[in-house]
Amino acid sequence: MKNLLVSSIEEYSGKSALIIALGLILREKGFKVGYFKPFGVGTTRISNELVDEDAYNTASVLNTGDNLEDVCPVKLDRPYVEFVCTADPVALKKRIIGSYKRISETKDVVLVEGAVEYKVGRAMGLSDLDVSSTLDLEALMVVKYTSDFVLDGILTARELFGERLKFVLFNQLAGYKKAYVKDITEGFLKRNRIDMLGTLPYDPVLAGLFVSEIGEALNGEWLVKPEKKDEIIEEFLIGAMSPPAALKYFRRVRQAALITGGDRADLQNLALETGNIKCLLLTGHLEPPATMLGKAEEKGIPVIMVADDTLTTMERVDEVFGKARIKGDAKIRRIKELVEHFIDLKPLGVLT
Amino acid sequence: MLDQFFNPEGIAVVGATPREGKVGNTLLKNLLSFQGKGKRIYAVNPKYDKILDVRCYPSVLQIEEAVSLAVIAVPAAGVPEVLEQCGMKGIKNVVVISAGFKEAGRVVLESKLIRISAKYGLYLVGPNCVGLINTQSGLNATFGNVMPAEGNIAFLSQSGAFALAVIDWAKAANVGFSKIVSLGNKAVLDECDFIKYLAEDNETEVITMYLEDIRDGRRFMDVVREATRTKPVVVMKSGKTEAGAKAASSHTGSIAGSVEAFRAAFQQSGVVEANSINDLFDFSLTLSRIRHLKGGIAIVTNSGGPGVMAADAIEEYGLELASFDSVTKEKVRDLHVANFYNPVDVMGDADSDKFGSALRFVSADESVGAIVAILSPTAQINFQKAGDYVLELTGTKPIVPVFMAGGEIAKTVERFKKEGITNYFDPVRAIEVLHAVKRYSEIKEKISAPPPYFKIDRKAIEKLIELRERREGKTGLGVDGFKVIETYGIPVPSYGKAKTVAEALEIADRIGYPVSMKIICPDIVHKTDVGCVKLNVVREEVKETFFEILHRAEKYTSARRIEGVLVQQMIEGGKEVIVGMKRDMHFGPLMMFGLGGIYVEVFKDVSFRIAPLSEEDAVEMIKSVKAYRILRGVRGEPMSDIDSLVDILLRVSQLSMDFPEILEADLNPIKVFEHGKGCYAIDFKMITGKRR
Repeated sequence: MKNLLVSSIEEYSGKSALIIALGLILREKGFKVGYFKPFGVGTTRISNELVDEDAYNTASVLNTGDNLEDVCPVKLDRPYVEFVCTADPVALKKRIIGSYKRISETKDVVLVEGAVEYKVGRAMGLSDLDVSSTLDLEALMVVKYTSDFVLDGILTARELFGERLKFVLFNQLAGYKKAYVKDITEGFLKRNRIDMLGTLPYDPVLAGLFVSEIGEALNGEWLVKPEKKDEIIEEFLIGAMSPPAALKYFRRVRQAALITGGDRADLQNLALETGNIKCLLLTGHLEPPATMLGKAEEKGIPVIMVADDTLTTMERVDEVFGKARIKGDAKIRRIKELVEHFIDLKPLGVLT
Repeated sequence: MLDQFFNPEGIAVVGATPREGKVGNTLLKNLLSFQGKGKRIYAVNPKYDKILDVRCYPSVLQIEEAVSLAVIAVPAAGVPEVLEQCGMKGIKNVVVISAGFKEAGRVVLESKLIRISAKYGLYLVGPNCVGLINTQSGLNATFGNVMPAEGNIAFLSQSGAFALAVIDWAKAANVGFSKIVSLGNKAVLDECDFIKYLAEDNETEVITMYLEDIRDGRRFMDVVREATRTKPVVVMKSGKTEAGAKAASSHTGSIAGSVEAFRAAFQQSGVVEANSINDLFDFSLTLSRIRHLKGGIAIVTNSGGPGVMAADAIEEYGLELASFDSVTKEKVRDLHVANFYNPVDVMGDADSDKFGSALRFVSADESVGAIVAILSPTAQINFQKAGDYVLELTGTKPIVPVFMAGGEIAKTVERFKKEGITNYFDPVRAIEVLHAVKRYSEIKEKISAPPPYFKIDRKAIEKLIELRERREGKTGLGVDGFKVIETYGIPVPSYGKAKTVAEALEIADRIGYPVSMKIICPDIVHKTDVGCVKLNVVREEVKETFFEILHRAEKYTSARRIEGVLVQQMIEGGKEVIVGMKRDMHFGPLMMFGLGGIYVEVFKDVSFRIAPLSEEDAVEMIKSVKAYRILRGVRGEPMSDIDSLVDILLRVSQLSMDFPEILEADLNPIKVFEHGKGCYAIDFKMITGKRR
C-alpha cells in the first residue's frame, strides 16, 4: 500500500479517528505503520513542550516510536497572520520533506493527517493540496455528511486536488440518506473517478466525552469523584421539569449527564434511580442535600458542582461536545470496530 | 417473628445511660414500667455497672439470659458493631433508634446495617426512628414520655416526629391505639411487613399509616389487597404534588412516583386514602366501629340548615340519601315534624325525646344504612338525654352524631368517646367519614377475576427489541413498534417504511389509495404541529408529499435523525381515543385511557390503573372518563365498539407485563368505530430501555 493523505472538507470530520483505526488495523495485518502530520494548528504545551494536541494524541495511541518533532514538524506557534507574514515557506517545505523522509524510511505505510480542512495552510504552501503534491500522496477525503451540499464540496476538492483525490469516505451518515449512498457512489463519484470506501454511522460513544473531561472543561468542584470508572457521556439533559415529566427524558437516553440546579433534589434522586444517567452537573453553586450525595457515592455516580447557571453550563458543554479526541480503550476499540465493519479497505491497495 | 417486637420477654437497651433527658435514659425508664411478670429489662453500656437500679452489661454478649428484643440508641458509627453482637447473641428483633444514616447522606453506613441483618437474619426497625409501642402489653419502646390509651387502631409512621406528636395528641384527645410503629429509614422492615403482621393481629381493627415513600409498590399493593379483606387500611401519603415531592426528596432522599400511580395503586389495592391528618384519624376512628354501609343515609336533625348541608354533601360524595318505607314515614309524620321525608327535621322546638323517637323509627327502616344525628343547642334539647338515644340505638344502625355545640356537650362527647364514637361539629365532616366507610365496603365486596392471558409470539418481539437496542443503540422502537402491536393482536392499518420516493410509491401502490404519510423521526414527537403528517394522499401527490415532509422535518432536526416516511392505509371516520402505558418507579406499568387525538393534553380526560388489568379494571377505566358519554353515543349516534377498546387495554397491559424493557408506550390515536366494527391503532410511540 502506498502512503496516504487523510484530508477533509470541513473541520472535525473525523480524520484522527480514522487514522487511529487504520493504523491499528494495518499494524494487525503486519504492516509497519507510520504517522505524520505536517502542519499542526491546534497547539498546546505539554510539560513545557509545544505540541499539536491532535498529533500528540494520535501519536501516543499509535505509538509509532518516531520523534514528536518529526511527527509534526510545523506547528503554529503564533497567530496565523503573523505566521504568514514572517515564516519562510521554503524552509518550512524543506523541514516537512526532511521529517517525512525520516519517518517513512522505516515504515511500510505512512498515514499523513491533513490540517483542519484541506485549504488550511494554503498561504504558506502547507495545505493538504500542497502536501499531496510535495510528497506525492494520494488523498482520502473524510466527508462529514452535514447536508447534501457536501457533494459540491467534494467536486471542488476534486478539481483542486486533481487525480490525487482518489477516495471518499462519508462520516456520520445516518437515517434515510443512507438509501442514497448507492446512487451517490455509482452516479456521482464514479463519474468523477473517485472510489467510495464506505460510510461510517454517527456514533454516540465516539462523540461522547469522558466524565473527567467534562469536569475539566467546566472547571467544577467534584462533590463525588468518579472512582469506579470514567464513563463516557453521550448526551446532556437539562433538568428543569417535574419528576414525572423528566422521567420520560431520563429513560430515552443511555449514557447521559444531567444538568440541573443544586437545589433540585427531586430530579437528582430520580436521576440516580434510572440508571441511564452517569453524571450529575449541579449548577448555581447550590449544594445538594447530603442524602443525595450519599446515594450518588454508593452508586458510584460522579457529582460536579459548578458556579454557572444551567444555561451557561449547557453552552460550555456544547462548545466541547462533538470535538472529543479519540482516547481511552473504549473509544479506540469502537472506532476500530466501526472501520472494520463499514469501510472497504481493498481500494487502498491493502490485501484483505 | 414480628410478634417479638410487641411481646418480647427479654429486652436489652443498648446505649442506656443514667443521664436525664438523654434518649437512652428515657427509653430505659419507659421500658422499666414493662418489667415484671416474666419480662426482663437489661441495660447495656460499657461505662456503667448499674443504671436506674438495673444491672448494666458491657455488651449484649455478656447477658446470660435470652434476649428477644434489642433497642439500640448508640451513636450511628457504633451501630454496626452492636448489630453484629446482637446477631452473635441470637437476638432476632432489633429497633435502631440512632440517627445519622441515609437521612444524613451516610448511605454506605446504612448498607452495612442491611448486610449484617441479612447475615444473621435480623428483623430490624429503623434506623432513625422513635421506636414502637404495644398498648395492650404495656410496652413502650420509644423515647417519648407519653403512653397512649389502649385502642383498636394500629398506627405506622414514616416520620418519627409525627409519630411522637400523634401519641401526645391521642393522649389528650382520648384516642386509643393497639400498636404504634415508627418506621424510620425502613432499611430492613417496611410498612409491608407490618401491614402483614397487623392484618392478623386480633387487637387491631384498622391499620393507619403516614407514608412519605413506598419502596416496593407492587408488594405494597399485594399486601394491602390481602389486608383489606379483613380490616381497613387508611393511608396518608405525602409528597404527592410537585412541591411535596421536592420537599420529600431533600428530606428523605426518596424519589417521587407520579401522583396518578399512587392514586391508581391505592384505589386498586383498596387503600382508604386520607388527604390530611384530620382525615387520617377521623376515617380510622369511624372505620374502627363502622365497616359497612349498605343502604342510604338518613339525616335526623332539629335544625334545617345543617340538615341541608349534610344532604348536599351526600350528593357531592356520590352517596345515597335513604328513601324511607311507608311505615317509617307514617311513624315519623305522627311525631309532628317539619319534614318526615329524609332529611327528617324534628324542628327547633323538639325535645330530646322527640329527637330520640325519630332516631328510633329511622333506625328500624331497612333502607337506612347509617344515620347522621344533627342537633343544635335549643332550650328544649338535653344533650345528655339525646346522647343516651344515640348510644342506645348505635347497636341497631351506625349513627354518626353531629352535636353542634361547645362546652354544653363536653360530657356527652366523652361518653361517646368511651364507646369509640366520634362527635363532629361539621355535618359535612360526618358525611366525609361515611364516604370513607362506603369506599371500604365497596372495596371489600369487589371481587376481580384474574387478568386474561393472550397467547403471543414473544420470541419475535424479544429479537426485535434486542436488535434495536444492541446494534443500533436506540431507545425508541420506531416503526418496528407496529410489529409489536400487531403481534399482540391489536389491529393496525397496512403500512410500509419508505426511504426513497420509489419506495414510497411502491408501498402506496400496494396499500391502495388514498394513503396517509408521516415522518419517522424520534426527535419529532408532535408530527402534526410541524406539518409532517399528510392525510388523504393520492397517487399523483405521493412524490411531492414525500419531499415536502422530509423538507419540513429537516428544518426541524438533523437529517441524520430522520429514518424515512411512513406510508399508511387511510382510516376514515371513527372516534379517537388513547391507550398509554408508562412504567412508574414504584408501581411498574401504569396504564392510561382517555379521549385521544391532538387534544388529549388539553382536556386531560384520562383514567389510570396499574397493570395487569382485569377485565373489570379495563371497563372501569373506560367508564370513568368524561368522554365515555361520547363513546356511548350522543344525539342518536351509534355506540362505539367499547368491547374492542377493553380488548386493546388488556393486550397492552399484558405487553407491559411481558416486556419490562418497554418503558413507555402510547397508542394514539386509536380510532374506534361503531359497535361490532372494532378499532385501529393509527399511531404509537414506544420507548425501550434496559431490563431493570
